[in-house]
Amino acid sequence: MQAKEQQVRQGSNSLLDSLGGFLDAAFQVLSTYSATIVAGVLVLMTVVLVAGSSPVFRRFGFIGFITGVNWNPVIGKEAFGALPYILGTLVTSAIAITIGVPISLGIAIFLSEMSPWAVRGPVSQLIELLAAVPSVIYGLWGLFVFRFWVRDWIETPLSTYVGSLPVFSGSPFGLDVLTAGLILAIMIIPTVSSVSREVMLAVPNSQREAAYSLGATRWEAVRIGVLNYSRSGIFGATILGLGRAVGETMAVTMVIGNAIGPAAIPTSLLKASQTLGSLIANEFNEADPTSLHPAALIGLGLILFIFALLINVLAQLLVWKVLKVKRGSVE
Amino acid sequence: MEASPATIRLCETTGLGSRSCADHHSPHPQHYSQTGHQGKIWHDEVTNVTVELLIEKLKPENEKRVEPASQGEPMGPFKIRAEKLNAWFGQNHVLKDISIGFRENEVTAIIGPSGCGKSTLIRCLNRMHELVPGARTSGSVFLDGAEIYSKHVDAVQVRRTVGMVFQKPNPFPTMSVYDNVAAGLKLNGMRNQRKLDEAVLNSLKKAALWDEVKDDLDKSGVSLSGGQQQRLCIARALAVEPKVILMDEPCSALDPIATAKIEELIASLKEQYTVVIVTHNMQQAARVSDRTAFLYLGQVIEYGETTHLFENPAQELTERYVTGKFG
Ligand SMILES: Nc1ncnc2c1ncn2[C@@H]1O[C@H](COP(=O)(O)OP(=O)(O)O)[C@@H](O)[C@H]1O
Ligand SMILES: [Mg+2]
Repeated sequence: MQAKEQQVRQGSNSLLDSLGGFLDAAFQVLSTYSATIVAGVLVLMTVVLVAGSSPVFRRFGFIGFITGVNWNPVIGKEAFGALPYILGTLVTSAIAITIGVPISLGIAIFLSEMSPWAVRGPVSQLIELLAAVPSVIYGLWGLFVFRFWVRDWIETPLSTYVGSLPVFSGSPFGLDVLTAGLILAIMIIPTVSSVSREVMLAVPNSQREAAYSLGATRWEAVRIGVLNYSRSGIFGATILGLGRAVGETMAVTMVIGNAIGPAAIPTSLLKASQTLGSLIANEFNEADPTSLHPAALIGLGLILFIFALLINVLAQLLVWKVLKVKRGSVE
Repeated sequence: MEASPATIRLCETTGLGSRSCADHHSPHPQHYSQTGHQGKIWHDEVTNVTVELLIEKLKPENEKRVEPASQGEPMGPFKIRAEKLNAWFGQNHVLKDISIGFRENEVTAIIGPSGCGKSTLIRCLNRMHELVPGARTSGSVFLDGAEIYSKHVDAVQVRRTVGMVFQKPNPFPTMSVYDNVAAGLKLNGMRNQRKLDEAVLNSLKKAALWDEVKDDLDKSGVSLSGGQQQRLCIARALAVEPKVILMDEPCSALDPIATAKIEELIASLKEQYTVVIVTHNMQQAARVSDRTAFLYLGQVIEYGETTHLFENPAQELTERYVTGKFG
């Protein structure tokens, strides 16, 4: 066997060798260029967003734009304020995190700590499949099915029993902040649960054993052995989910009710609203290129871009740190 | 050469280093038959030892003392005792009919080549073994005369009474020194701050760590040195007031100075506890233990006073092991 290997080695002539060398060099150049292109696209995007939105900032000022609440594209009566949509984005994302993260953690704990081996693979794959569903499908399902569940099972009771509270005021309709938040919660589950499961699986077994040896029950062992150890990774997973929720557009556009201006300020869960993404999606087609309207929409895009960038960088840093720690600690 | 990739893969899946693999999957037929030959010789001797042990245990005065706890009476020679204990990992029969007892206020060392089942044996004594998927046991373990594998006994309770210290220091990294020691007590539901303070202080003192960390109780547990971390783990185990302390090669990750400190600590622990320590360092066993059990391929080959076992072993296999001829 060794002899054969030798033969093959010797058989590989200098032509092949030099070809290999050339391919190596070519590959290096290619991958360097690809990396540069990715970075270039990012820079270019920033430039385009900043340049494209500058008219609206010149007109209303940066502060004026992000604190304004009115939205009127009619030429001569222009008013562009992003605050309602910033709030809409933040509130729907917050709902998504509040509902989606605990569910995701439950799934992750089940998959990494509790479930029998035979169940783990199939269930994990099923959940990751959820991430592959196009967001317009979530939107359609939200619009034609989920919305009515939310209206009948959640909003009607809320409105009946605690409707006097401002956050639950308004009539249940099913196309509002709550439905959008819940759809987002479902959409972030695959990401958050699979990343959390990953970081939980990275917890060395000695941590679980330490907990058990002190007389921990199974749940306590998960809590002090696993969740504690992986908490910054779980936080990273949450931020990753937040990034997804903030940026998600299509599904939200279809279920949030698409209010405009001061009406879009999300003061109640049962109110129609708007997010940065959904307003862009709703209005870009009809924006008059000669007006300030496109600049205002690009301005929304710039804010969204900054949000998403910050969130993702933070998440990457956290997850990366955890997985690095894991590699260091596995002997 | 041909067989080795498969062997390595097999070992990786069982989470073992290649060294212990070499012990078990020795590819050389010559070596193999040699082992088989020895096996035949000592196999008979094992039965002798086991019978002797059983006879000793059946002596009237011993038997009386291992009866379930009756007040005021000393618990007798065996604080914790395994009887016909068998353990498996899946199909792998790792412990074979082990009967062995450990005395109170003594340090008992368990020695033997790696892979012979030392860790498994002590992990059966606090029901940690059953946490491994596919692992199971048969036979009995009596703690103060009560069967810990009985249906009516909660494994969680057993582990509070039989504490454990692991091969690699494993403090909880997100917790402070204080919280590491208090972790077990908090699990038990203790919330009284004064009592917690007191228990943490006492445990750290018993673990000979107090003087070194008394000003750093809020620092992370993993900021300590390796030896300090291991003593922190000992303090953490002591805090829940166990009766028996199992130590699985507690010094194998430590330098000689840290090792000496832990050995000193072990010697002091026996005044209050029953200590069982696994080690494959024979000098260590000789230094710290009162009694030593020699385990080989899942069976107790010889068990007796440490000086006797090292200086005057009854079994040829023991002699060969303690003189470093194999293992
Ligand atoms: N987690 C595990 N899963 C499967 N088999 C194991 C596991 N741990 C140990 N074993 C098997 O049990 C045998 C005894 O292991 P162990 O008790 O760890 O030996 P020792 O502590 O004496 O080195 C080993 O040969 C190994 O094959
Ligand atoms: Mg071991």
